[in-house]
Amino acid sequence: MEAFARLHRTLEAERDDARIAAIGAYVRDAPPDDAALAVSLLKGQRPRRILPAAVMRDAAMRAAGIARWLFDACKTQVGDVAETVALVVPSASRTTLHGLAWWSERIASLATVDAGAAATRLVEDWDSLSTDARIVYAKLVSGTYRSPVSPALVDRALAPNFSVPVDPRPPFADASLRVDAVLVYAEPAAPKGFALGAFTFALWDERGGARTLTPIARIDDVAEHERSALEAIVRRTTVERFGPVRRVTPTLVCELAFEAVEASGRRKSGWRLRAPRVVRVRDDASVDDAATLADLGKYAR
Amino acid sequence: MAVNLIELSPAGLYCPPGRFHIDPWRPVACAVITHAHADHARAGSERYLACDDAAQVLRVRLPGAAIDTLPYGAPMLRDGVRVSLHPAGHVLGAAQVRIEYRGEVWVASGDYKRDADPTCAPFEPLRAHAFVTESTFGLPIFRWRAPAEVVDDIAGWWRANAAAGRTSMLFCYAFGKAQRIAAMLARARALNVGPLAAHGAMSALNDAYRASGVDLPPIVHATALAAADVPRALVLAPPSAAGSPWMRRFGDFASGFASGWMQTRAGRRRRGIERGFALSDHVDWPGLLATIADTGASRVLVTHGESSAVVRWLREHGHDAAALATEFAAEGEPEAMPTAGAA
Repeated sequence: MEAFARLHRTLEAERDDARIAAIGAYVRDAPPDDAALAVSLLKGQRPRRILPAAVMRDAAMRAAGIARWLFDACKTQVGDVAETVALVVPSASRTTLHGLAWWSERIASLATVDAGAAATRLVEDWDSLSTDARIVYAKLVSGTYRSPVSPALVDRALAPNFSVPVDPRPPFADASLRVDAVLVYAEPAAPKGFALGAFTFALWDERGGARTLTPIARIDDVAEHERSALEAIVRRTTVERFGPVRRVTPTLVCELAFEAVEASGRRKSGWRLRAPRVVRVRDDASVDDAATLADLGKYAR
Repeated sequence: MAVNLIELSPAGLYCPPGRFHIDPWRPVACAVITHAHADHARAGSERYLACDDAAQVLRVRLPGAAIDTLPYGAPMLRDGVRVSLHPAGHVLGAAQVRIEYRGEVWVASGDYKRDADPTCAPFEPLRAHAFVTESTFGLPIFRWRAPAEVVDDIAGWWRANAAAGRTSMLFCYAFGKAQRIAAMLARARALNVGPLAAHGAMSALNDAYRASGVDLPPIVHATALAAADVPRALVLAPPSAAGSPWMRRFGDFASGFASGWMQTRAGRRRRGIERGFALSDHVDWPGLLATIADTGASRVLVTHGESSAVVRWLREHGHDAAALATEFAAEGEPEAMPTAGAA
């Protein structure tokens, strides 16, 4: 579990060559069942929710000895329940050598006990995990684990001499949906930061006869590697500024992942993406290759 | 009820019976300075009093100022008020201000930490009737790992970058954090990876540390690195250098940031940096609560940072606590300002 948590942290932060090396090293060194599970998670298999986030939150509040208002203040600063849980619980007093597959089965078994017993188990488990491992653990419990990399990158990492020995395990549902979109606007992050905060992506809109780009999602969940590529493009192609917002010449295509698409009368595009994020810069694609709103509509339920 | 030994005035924290301010943000007659970070040591006051360990750095920060110094622990009497400075463990020369008047003792912490730091004297727990504490990281998500472990992470990152032929660009505050990291890397015997270098803004501060007797390893001026050494170097740079033309000379470097704010993913992403190392010169949540308990103070006044959360927690746990609306910056702002001798 600790090894996979370190891998996850590396994949969130590093650039592609380091990511590929890290995936390769993990898969080579991990026991086969851990490697298989890691590969399926990294390729976008989404874990099933085992417990509601509120059960985990309440257990963390008890373990940390803090009231709800203080947990909420922490959550505001952190922005994510699983990470808040991982950070507020006091440091582990024990260590374990169990791998990802062992923990995954242990987490799945939380669904078979009552809420009180589950809370006790959560606190016991946190006491043997590092902060980074607790974040992965909490995201597997709440079903919110999302791969920080694209499936294509995982394939590249595995390409040389490795095949996945086991099929993805039953607790995983379908992979998230994907679409290629064009970067059209960028805006800075919090005043103190020097990175750009959110990026707006558009799809081709062919409803009016003409072919225009219509914004579909404003995204701030961008891994550092992709973020630097986006910022470089924004610096080179900004054509106009409205206050903090910069309009760029449409040149860059990115692969976006999202959980679902819903009709939205409030938006010009008519659609709203749930949990959109940038998974990859498509250096190989031109703006004309980006998807249309009609393509997106096919994903709607 | 006893007289207030510290209260908030328009110019900053003020001791009425002693007629002096502590870290005032406007010019005053007499300013007691807890440490030389820009938001605590502002120019323009008539006289300054600081710890003698802080003098070298303070003269870099406040050129020409009239600075009196006291050794740690030595008392000074002023209008019947006994003032003494005690180690705060924050950066070189950082002091807590202990004020005693008619049997009443108040302590202003300044910025402080409880973790080990080879570049400054360790925090000294003091007993007080009232304690004025900082609260920069006053939330339970801030629990620091052992600093030596974090420095081992920095060393491992440096080693991997050097093996890949990339300069390691480590952003950190020019005063305090940079020298602490340099000294800790030396103690971790990590300097065999390549040369340790620093941005010009840090040179005067490094010299001031050495002049104060702090043992720092050799630190090369970053612009003086030999071309062949650049890919193996670890360069300490102030956050203000990020994105500047100065950085172009390092080509395809790897970036890291050493700060308590790197504790959360949101903090790491906001900085747009590849690697974050949660290494802070401020006290963490458990350290804050332990320090308040150590003082035995019946009254706790909380300054900048997460003061509202800390005050509410203290009140819910039976303390007489209140916030003081100071104008000190959050960690990270002071070093964004130009420093004396900056290049």
